[in-house]
Amino acid sequence: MWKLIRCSVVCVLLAVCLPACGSAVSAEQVIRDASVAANLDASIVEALQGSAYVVYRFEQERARGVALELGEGRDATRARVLAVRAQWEPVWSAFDAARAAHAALVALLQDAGASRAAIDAARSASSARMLELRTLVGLARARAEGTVL
Amino acid sequence: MDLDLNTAIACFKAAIEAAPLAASVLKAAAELFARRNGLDPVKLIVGISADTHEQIDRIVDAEIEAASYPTGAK
Repeated sequence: MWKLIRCSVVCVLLAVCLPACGSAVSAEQVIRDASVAANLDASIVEALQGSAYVVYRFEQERARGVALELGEGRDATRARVLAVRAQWEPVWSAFDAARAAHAALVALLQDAGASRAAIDAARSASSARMLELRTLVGLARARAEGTVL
Repeated sequence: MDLDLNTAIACFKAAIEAAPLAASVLKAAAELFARRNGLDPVKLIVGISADTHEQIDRIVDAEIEAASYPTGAK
């Protein structure tokens, strides 16, 4: 009988303590995962930026080359280059959005009072912006390589 | 020496414009600088990186202006 009572008490204690313990571990895990994601996002922006600048410059140079081949003047050359720049506007906006989302995530990670839900939401938002950015830079690169018109 | 964020951004931007090949090193230095001087490293890096594509535009514009074109071409 006493064994049964002791066993029940232990079970009740485990039932009370384990969820709280699990919750603490889970909160740490959320912050750790979000920190890894934030570092990864920063690396992605940095890498995509370098790549985007190379392709951006290349597309403008190619536009100038076409104008030169066709014997066009300064105004026509400038118009071709401006057309390239207009195609890139969504990419630069996506860079701004990705940097802002990353900065928001970092700010929450530095805020000791930030909730798990807020960190999770910021992490998701940052990941979504990164995905959008990767897609746009990938499309721009494909366009420059002639695989997408 | 105390620098505010905007001055630090301007300084690092100028350094990157002068030595674009060292941009990654300069950004790493900027991050370290921000941490040591109580500035927000993210804001500093974002500020430095914000308009580099505009620097490319300025270079291309200068090349277009400097190039010679066929007489009578528009």
